[in-house]
Amino acid sequence: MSAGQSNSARLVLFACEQRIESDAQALEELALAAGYVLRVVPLPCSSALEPAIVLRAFEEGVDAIEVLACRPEICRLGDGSRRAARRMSRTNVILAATGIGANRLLFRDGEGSQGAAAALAELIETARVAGPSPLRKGLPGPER
Amino acid sequence: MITGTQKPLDKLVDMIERHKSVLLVGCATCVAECAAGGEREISELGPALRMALRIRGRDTDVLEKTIERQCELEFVDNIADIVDGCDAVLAASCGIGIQTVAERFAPKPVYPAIDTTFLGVRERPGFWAERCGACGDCVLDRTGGICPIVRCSKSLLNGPCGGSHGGKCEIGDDVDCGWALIVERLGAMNRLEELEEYQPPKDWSSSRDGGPRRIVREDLQ
Repeated sequence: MSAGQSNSARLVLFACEQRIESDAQALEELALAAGYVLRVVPLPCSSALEPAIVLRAFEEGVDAIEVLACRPEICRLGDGSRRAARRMSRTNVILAATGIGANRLLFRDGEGSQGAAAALAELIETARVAGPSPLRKGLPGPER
Repeated sequence: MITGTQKPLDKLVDMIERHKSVLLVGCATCVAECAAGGEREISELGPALRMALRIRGRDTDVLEKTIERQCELEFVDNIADIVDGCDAVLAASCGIGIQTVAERFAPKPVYPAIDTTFLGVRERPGFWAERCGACGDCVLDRTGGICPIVRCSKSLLNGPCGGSHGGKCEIGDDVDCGWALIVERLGAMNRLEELEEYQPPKDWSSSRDGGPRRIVREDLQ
């Protein structure tokens, strides 16, 4: 990360591999062009995402996270999207209790056929509205 | 298993925020099975605590460690070096584990991360229910293997009360009447007539009413 990027909003997009129609690097470059540092993390299934991973990302100063899951009826694991929805809902409860707030973690399960680019736009808007993470100050930047 | 639930995050932060470094220690046995204090829960609670503390303006460091059993000194001894380097311990275990850690490392402050709730079983994913009151005088032989102490809301020993209706308890339609279950079970075993036998009063001195309980096995000492 360059010095110029150190003050940029930091975003993470966790996505089931079935939901990433464009390559992750292209998406990250698109975000960078808009002034945001994005990390895209493809997952074999959204249910592979443990709440601890999300919490640690926020602990490291990430400003907003979006989780892209498949529509429940086409989930390859059957119950993966629903399970991920329940986990992220609980994670948001934890985030609210910490003071980070429940407005920085989004979960989308494919309703409305939202693509990765649209998800990025939503993520950027979420980060803009929520503002910088209260943990960013004085923290080292996330490893990339 | 012994079941428990995590205390609210703000209460935990209240307990530990005065310290510079705290060891959050989980237990990989009962409270892991009930998803309250095992390795997975510690990996979530650790960052949650650190974030909440930082937002409160505290620089308390929270270290994480999960041991096999907090109720066994052999396992508790393994964290002695880490505890030595911390100002306090936040123990995510049942009350037994918390007290074992507190006794082992006294006078180091040890705080409970979990409210111990009951002795129970996981009926289905995400649902645990009480099964044993640890009364010290088991009557399951006479009740078809169903405990009237904890599965009857009134702990009745002589059959259902007037609040039993349609197999449910008067406290809620989602609660089975313990005695309806017992009658059904004994009926299936062709043992219903045993309920008519005289039973002497239960000896409650072996339960909580007799003071702190101990088991002594001299052959094992």
